[in-house]
Amino acid sequence: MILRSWLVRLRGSVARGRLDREMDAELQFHVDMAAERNRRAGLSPREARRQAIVAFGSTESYREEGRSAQRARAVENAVADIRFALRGLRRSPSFTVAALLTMALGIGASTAVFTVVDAVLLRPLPLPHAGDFGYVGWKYGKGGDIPALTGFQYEFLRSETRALEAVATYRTVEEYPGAGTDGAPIRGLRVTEHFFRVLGYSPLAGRAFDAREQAEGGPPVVVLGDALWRTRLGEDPAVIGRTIRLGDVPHTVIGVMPPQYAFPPVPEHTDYIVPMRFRVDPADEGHNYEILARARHAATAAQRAADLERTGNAFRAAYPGQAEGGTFESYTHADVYAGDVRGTLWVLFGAVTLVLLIACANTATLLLVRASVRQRELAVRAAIGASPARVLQQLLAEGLVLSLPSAALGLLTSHLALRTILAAATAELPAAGGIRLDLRVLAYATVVSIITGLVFGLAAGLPAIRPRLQSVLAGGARGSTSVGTRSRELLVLGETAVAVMLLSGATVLATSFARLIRTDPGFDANAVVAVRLGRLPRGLASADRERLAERALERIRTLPGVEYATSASSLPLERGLNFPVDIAERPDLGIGAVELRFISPDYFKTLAVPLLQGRDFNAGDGVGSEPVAIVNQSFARHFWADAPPIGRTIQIGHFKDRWLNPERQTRVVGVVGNMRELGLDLEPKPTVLIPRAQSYEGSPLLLARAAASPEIQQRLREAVAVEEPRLTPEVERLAAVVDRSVATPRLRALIIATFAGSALLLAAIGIYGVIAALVQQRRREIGVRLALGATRSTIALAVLRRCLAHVATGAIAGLLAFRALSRVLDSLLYHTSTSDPRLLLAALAILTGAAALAAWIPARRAARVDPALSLRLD
Amino acid sequence: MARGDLTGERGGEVIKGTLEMMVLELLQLGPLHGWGITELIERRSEGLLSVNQGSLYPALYRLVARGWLSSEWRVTENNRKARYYSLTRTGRKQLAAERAQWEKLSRGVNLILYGAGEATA
Repeated sequence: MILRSWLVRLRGSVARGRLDREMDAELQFHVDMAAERNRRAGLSPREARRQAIVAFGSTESYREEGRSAQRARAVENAVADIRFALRGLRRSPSFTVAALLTMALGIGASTAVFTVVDAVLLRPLPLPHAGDFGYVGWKYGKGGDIPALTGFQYEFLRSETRALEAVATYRTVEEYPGAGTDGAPIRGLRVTEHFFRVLGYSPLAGRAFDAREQAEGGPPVVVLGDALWRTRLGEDPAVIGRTIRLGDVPHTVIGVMPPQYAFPPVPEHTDYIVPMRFRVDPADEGHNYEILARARHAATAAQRAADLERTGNAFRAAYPGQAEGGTFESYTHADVYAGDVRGTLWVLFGAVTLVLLIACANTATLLLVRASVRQRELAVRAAIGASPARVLQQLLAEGLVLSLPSAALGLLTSHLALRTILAAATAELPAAGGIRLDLRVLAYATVVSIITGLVFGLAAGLPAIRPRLQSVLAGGARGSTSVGTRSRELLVLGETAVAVMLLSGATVLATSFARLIRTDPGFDANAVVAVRLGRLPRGLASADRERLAERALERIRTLPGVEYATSASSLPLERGLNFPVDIAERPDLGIGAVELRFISPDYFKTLAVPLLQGRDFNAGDGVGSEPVAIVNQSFARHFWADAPPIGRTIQIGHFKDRWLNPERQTRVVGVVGNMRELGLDLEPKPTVLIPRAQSYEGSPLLLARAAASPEIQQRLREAVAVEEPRLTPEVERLAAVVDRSVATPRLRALIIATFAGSALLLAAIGIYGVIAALVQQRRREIGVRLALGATRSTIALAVLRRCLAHVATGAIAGLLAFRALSRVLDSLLYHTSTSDPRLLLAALAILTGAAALAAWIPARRAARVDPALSLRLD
Repeated sequence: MARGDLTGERGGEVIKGTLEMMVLELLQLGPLHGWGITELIERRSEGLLSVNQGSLYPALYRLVARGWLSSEWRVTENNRKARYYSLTRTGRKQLAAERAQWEKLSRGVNLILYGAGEATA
């Protein structure tokens, strides 16, 4: 019927001229007939005609009406509709604000989160045939994934694989280009020979490295990134063959990469590429090479996997003792670079989807409430001649007027939300700098919420626009009681369920986080300040740095307020080294990866770690003296159980094979308490601590035990600056390092709490809206009840009870759904269970409180109804 | 609109919406042109009602737009071309609905004006 009337109108607008002519002919016919009758009644022809015209009235006035009935006066109507809608929305500001906020929140949050999920997990890498690109690592059985290889494994894989077209590895490098530039460092890669084939990009101008250049002792050559060529070399077309200085070495430019060249593992290192002259170092048994691989395009996933397994078996057969099992394994970019955040992102995505769901439900609820309130208005319009299409058009206009500003607000919200997420998670998100707001996603979310609004707005409006000519007069208010009530109550139920799910998730994650930060790390981070020396000035060798650190440490020890000071190569909870360790008497107990840390005397006193047996290192543990080590309790228990460890020897860098010099024995001189070095949530690993004086020289960090006041921090900085004014030391409390190590769980808890809060707010708005409308519709009934003697508190309680019944049903459904879905959270939790009844009850209590509050306001209004007044209504 | 759709004998207005209902009713018997409807209303109401033409044509167009009436040009018995309106299937259904409502309304009004006895008669 509606379609048909639209067709009629459409024809009206297309054939306006013809319609006008037809109308004229029709009216002319009428006047002629009237004149004819007048003439038959005895009037003169002239008079008969005059009277007929007078009786007919101004043809123009109803010709206009006739036209408007037939013609879709699209523009005029639209303007009128929008004006009308604006007026209507202005008249009900609470509805308008609630609807706007709801939609803006839904659009904004979902867009921001989807953008991040898309960028990190879903979007293909910016490489040609990205599906064939991946990483190869070594997998020691279930959960023993190491997405990197030893140099030896890499060489083996490179020569033996058949399903992989090419494998390569790289190191990041950073250099100061020669004089005449602004001195900022440029970042590039040192790569093995098949790098270009693996990535799928080769130089646009010039060529890649040849075998001579890739070999030991080859000439220094460089391939430039497009951006570097443009910014630093002025797009010089004759750049090939030119010489540029990297560090102090002149390099010949042999190629320039295309503009689209990208390096996903380290996106910022695309300024230049130099050859890596790869040589297996038999002393280096660490999984220290990230392996990039490109599979043959024709090889299926099964073939690739089979090939890696075969190569792995061959490797174990050729070098027994190199690995106690395991095989080569392929990893995707997300496996390697989003592994840690993946769980967080999916939780985030789930949470935001639920919020979007609530937002849509809420928009729907609000519109349903509004439609039922307006039902009479719509019925009146229909009765006085507004066609159904006309009323629909009006509802559409209202939806539009509501959704356009919502979309604008949503854009703003998503921008802010994305900025917040990225700011909070720069460390956790790979390539956070490259994530931009995805406009397609924004458009999608906007369209979804608009459609939700329209669909529910129309669904609610439709029953009202079936014209009932007399119902307005005859039916009074009774016509507007129950349409939409049921669907509204269902929506409230659903919203409550979703809110309970989010609240439960938030409670569980927040509890887990609280327990995590209350975990004793085994050291005292609160009164420790760390000093990083910062970038070494040019011309300073590492021996100078060592001397400098030693002198600064002496100075720091004498500062007032400093109890102890020491140096170390790394901070607890920051990246350390892994080495295989075994002992001669029990080779079967050897461990492939023991945590290895290089420290100095007083380290344990500075960090307040208990020395359980033996002695601390001292100044005598140096280059010439016997190699010594201190182990942690976990290490001692693993190798010697309850036997005393002091005086025993261990072999570091030795693992059930003949590679390393077996004479290199290290004597255990002490045992210390366990420290959580890898993460507060991880059980302490067997750890060996070695004096820095007997180990590699790493860049030293200084640690001081002192109250972390700003003055102390300033004095520490000065103590370093006195020794070398060109250094820019960074001073940081160790507590901040601990804080940073729990940034991901904190972010996770924070985000889901924010979402749960939004969900709670939205659900409360929904409940309020529904109950308020219910009270409004039932005023008469309430009036009657009051008049018949019901007390005001009975009325209020009845309203509350009705609301809470729905909330309870929804809450139970929500808890059941949460139980079903909570598996995804399990891996993210620390000493917390998703089925802890106390936590679920807490979530339930929060929701019930909010719901009761939301229902209380309209319930109180219900109790205040004046019976005399309400009975006189209508 | 200053005047009502229909005018009663002493110029009193007749309830809005009734014109449309009466048009539907009259067309039940067969297609009519606008003038024919005017004449028929006057004749059938024994001169008590007269149609305000300014309302009749817009009402007709409205009913066409809603799909209750259809129209076509035909030749009259006097050999003139006129637009004839006829009832569609939805129009027929609508008429039944409106009749029912009208009866309810008029019964209610009668009850108020004359009390129970008159209305049941």
